[in-house]
Amino acid sequence: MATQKVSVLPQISSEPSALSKWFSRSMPPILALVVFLLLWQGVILVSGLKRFVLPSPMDVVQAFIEKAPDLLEAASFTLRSSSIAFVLVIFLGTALSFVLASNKFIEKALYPYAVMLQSTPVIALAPIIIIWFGLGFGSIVVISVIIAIFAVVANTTQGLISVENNLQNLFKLYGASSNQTLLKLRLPFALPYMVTGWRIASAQVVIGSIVGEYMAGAGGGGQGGLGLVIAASSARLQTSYLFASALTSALMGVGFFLLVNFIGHLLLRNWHESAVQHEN
Amino acid sequence: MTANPIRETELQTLDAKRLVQVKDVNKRYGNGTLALEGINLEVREGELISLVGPSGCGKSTLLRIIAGLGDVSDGLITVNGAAPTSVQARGSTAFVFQEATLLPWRTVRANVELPLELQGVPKANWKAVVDETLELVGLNQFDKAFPRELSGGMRMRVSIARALVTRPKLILMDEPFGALDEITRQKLNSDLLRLKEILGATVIFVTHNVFEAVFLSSRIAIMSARPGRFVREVSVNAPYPRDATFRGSPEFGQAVMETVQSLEH
Repeated sequence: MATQKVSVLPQISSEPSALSKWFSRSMPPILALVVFLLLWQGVILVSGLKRFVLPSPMDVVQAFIEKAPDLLEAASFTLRSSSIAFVLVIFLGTALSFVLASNKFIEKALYPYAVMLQSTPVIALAPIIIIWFGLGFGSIVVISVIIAIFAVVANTTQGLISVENNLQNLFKLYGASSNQTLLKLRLPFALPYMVTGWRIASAQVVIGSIVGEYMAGAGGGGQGGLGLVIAASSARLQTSYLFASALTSALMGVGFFLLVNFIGHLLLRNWHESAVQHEN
Repeated sequence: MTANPIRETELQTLDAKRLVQVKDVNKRYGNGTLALEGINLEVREGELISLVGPSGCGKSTLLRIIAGLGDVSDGLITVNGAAPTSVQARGSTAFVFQEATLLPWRTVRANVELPLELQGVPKANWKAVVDETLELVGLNQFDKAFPRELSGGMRMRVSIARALVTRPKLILMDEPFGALDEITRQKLNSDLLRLKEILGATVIFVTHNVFEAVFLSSRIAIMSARPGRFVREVSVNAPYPRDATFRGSPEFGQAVMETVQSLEH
């Protein structure tokens, strides 16, 4: 009896229905969420903490529904700066990677500074950025770009310099031009690395935008994204609203990540291990 | 004395048919290690010659130099009458690496098309020659497959098809079957001889497998290590075409014996 396998995973021989597949995948996290919410509610009942310190799950849901229009507007503002930052990160990051990968000397010369920029806390840079770009949208996008660009640069550069030596020899033997080598070898070879960079950056631009709005969002003419909502509700001790904003931020970040993930999957699905469905 | 005119012409024809000439080649690595010393080699059109020797004897280095992928320190190499890096030499040479070295994002067909694409052959001319080449290596059913869907042996067939698609005069092969199981290796050995016969190419084949070298070659150049140099040449006195029964013949055993003894020196 003890050895009996209790598994919701479908056996290979039987054709699993889409529903049971979905259920087997979604059940564990849903279960974890339910347990977490019960514990949360339990802590409040036992400890008697004030609502402004720790609101109950129902308080958060209530705030979420009541403030839905505000949250949606804030989220769309954040989505706009995140999207612009993301496009900039990909273009600038990829261009910079090509420069770094084109020449060992340039790579050695610049790489330490890229690492340094990455390691500098954005809070130290924010005042400078705000002096240069003013309060509001410009600074928000710049802060977001600075936070996210390293992931794209590091991964893309790694991909471009990892091209298998014999593949390069093959192109050389057939007299490939440097353009052909770039477009038909280096770029496709680096693509899986690039997609990894995009995935990381997709989550980081959302974080970057919210941090940017938190620090530089006041100048937007009353307009502000989730970062500003978080700053304002924190100042007013609207803790339920604060939780609801955090939840919205998380959902947005996940949504953005899934979108980029999906695009990456489409690009790699035919050939790369990370995107290929294995049958066993 | 007047030279015999017929003899004279014969000599010239022979000379023209020397596809690869390696003369007094030394190769020193950047750190001063002598990798190749006093290498002399002539390969005539239509020959299949193997370079055999222990690891580190420089056989792959020599092959890469013939392909124009590395420089010599001293000496001279010509391929098809020109320097290995010249268009004339490269246009008539193909290289098969130890790994299949395919582009994983391309289908079998697109991988085989690659050399035509890079050499600027008009697209309209691709299909016929690619179809024919895939047929030759037995992959016409798999032209839409991606490399990851194929076995190691089939990937190597794609790699060979890619090398053959330009109909090269000279094919340089660097231990191409070293990573395959023995059964697949023997099958590919037979197929290689068949393809060479059909296409009339010249092959320089690097291996450390004595049986493979004897089965394939008309000549075997045996190398020693540190510095890499030719110690002996073994002729395999058996006519082509050869099939699997050749492995049981006295000539085969004789050549294997000679090669093994030379390697022990």
